[in-house]
Amino acid sequence: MSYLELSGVRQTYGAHRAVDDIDLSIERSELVAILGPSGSGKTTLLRIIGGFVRPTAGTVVLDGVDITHRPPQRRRMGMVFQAYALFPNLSAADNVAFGLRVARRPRAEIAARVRELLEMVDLGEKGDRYPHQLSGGEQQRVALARALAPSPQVLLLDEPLSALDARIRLFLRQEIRRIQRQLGITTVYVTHDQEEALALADRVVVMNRGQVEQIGTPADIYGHPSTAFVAAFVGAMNRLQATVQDPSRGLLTIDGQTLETGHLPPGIAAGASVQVLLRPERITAASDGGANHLTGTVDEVGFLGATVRVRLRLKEQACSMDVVYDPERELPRPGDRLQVFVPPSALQTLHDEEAAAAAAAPLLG
Amino acid sequence: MGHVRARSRPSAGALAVLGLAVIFFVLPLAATVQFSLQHGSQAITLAPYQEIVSDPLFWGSLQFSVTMALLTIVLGMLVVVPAAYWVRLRLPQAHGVVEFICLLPFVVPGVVLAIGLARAYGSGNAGPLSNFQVLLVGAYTVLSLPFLFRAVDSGLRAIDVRTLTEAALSLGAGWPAVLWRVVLPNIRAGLLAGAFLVFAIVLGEYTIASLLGFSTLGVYTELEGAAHAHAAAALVVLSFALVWSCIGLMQIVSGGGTRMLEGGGAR
Ligand SMILES: Nc1ncnc2c1ncn2[C@@H]1O[C@H](COP(=O)(O)OP(=O)(O)O)[C@@H](O)[C@H]1O
Ligand SMILES: [Mg+2]
Repeated sequence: MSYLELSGVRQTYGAHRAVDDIDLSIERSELVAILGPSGSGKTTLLRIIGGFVRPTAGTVVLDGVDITHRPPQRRRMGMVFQAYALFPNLSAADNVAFGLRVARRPRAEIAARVRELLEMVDLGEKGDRYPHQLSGGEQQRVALARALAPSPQVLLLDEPLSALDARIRLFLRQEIRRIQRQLGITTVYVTHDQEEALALADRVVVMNRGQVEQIGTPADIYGHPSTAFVAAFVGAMNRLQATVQDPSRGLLTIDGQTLETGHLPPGIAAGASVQVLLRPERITAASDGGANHLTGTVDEVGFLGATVRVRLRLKEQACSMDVVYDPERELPRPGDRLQVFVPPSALQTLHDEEAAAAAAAPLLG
Repeated sequence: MGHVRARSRPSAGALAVLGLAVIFFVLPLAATVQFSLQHGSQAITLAPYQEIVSDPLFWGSLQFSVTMALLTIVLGMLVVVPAAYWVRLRLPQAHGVVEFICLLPFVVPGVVLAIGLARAYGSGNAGPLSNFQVLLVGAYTVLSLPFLFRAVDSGLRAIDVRTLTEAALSLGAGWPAVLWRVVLPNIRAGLLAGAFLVFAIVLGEYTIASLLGFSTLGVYTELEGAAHAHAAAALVVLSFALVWSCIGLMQIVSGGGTRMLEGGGAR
């Protein structure tokens, strides 16, 4: 049995299912990211774990003990909120000391622990500042230290970085990961930012409309999305309309060009129409005389820094590819004819019902 | 810049309004002070003040009124703070209803309230409320609801009640600790403002106290005014000074925390 187990957890508001029959097992010391668009039920799920919401159905088991009906103040779970959660009347040090004071720890122990934690989040000198005298990033570091001070069994974070600047967000993300590893604390991290989830988590839970779409390592989620929604939500993705040409050899045609794929749904007939998913970075420059080439006209060239995104117009459809930026080499220009190579393993096909669901999700143009 | 100039050279209209306000507030006060010190064209004398200060009835009524005011503040806070807090935390949809209920004392005239209370509870079989002192504190608490609720609620609006509460709970704080350590300290300015208003209202209240037969400061002032005009004027000046020293005191008490914060901000 895992350290933290959710079984059949459901939360309904009227007829609306904010969290819909979720099963989730989290191991000790693991960092699990809950990833999903706004309104997908991430916060509700986290609040159920923290005890702020009693689930309509299902159980929450921590270390073998059913805590579904245990109030939050007796769960020993540290919580970090998006913003504005520090006690405004208390200094940073007193904020960190709060949990220890209400637990009536001895004075000397509190002082030592507060110092230790403020140093861990690199705020050793700013203990006597009040929240309004700290930057957003500093406030979130104090909030993390405060949540960790009473040595909780589980750490819960609800989009803790989403109110911060991009640069600080990147830095703090690494800090959170470092501290989480150092303490080995079981952590549930809610975010709508797929990059953050992939960079931080041991495992990612992708949620959509209150349900789990996929649970897996960041590499799994990115490399082998198991549903159309995950494919569309995590990372940039081309979605192309194709016709099955020869199911036995895995051949299909996209705008009249024949390509081989390693992932054709079993039992599909020739002539069937399928949707094909293709990551822009899997497309590379064509090797001479090889198979699986795609030819098109450069439509648009977008400079992204380390990479350049080139949009290739086939006939009816367009397809984006990422090339590593190399100042020594000339970039393709709009109007150029270009031939590119598509590895058969990079072409993933979708069943019809999945394709319909994917059509609702935002995708690369 | 425009803002600074506007400040250093107010417009003629603003000056006129300010002047009218000063006349409106200061003239009666100055006249009262003058009347309390002088009989007609005679020499200035402190005799009316001596008369008041040496009257044991004055001290008795002052003590009684202050006691009533403090009890009202405590009882009112005990009712209003948890209610306003819970509404903000769990029943935001009930906010309008609660606010309306708290405003009701404004529509019921004091005479009606006093007579109604005396008839309802005065029969002697209404438990502790048959005691008119208890009844008086209860009536004052009801009277102060609009002021207390407004003051406490605006204090609560300024903080993120739900997030702070959940943060405290997740840190292991029970409900009493959440209220005492998190909610109250963060709405202290609102609490003090509400407490001051209640103090001033109770000290000056006449209708209910006199109908229930108590000699509060308000009742004493009325009786004194009927009997000794100059002494009554002195009494008004005294209570005015008392109320303003209360304001000053509360500014100092509540300013302590604010100044500490601002001092830190300059670092
Ligand atoms: N207290 C509530 N009452 C009614 N609906 C709610 C409540 N809390 C959340 N919801 C609804 O549940 C859904 C999921 O919300 P939430 O868990 O906050 O999503 P997320 O954190 O992924 O953005 C949303 O549609 C939201 O409107
Ligand atoms: Mg959320």
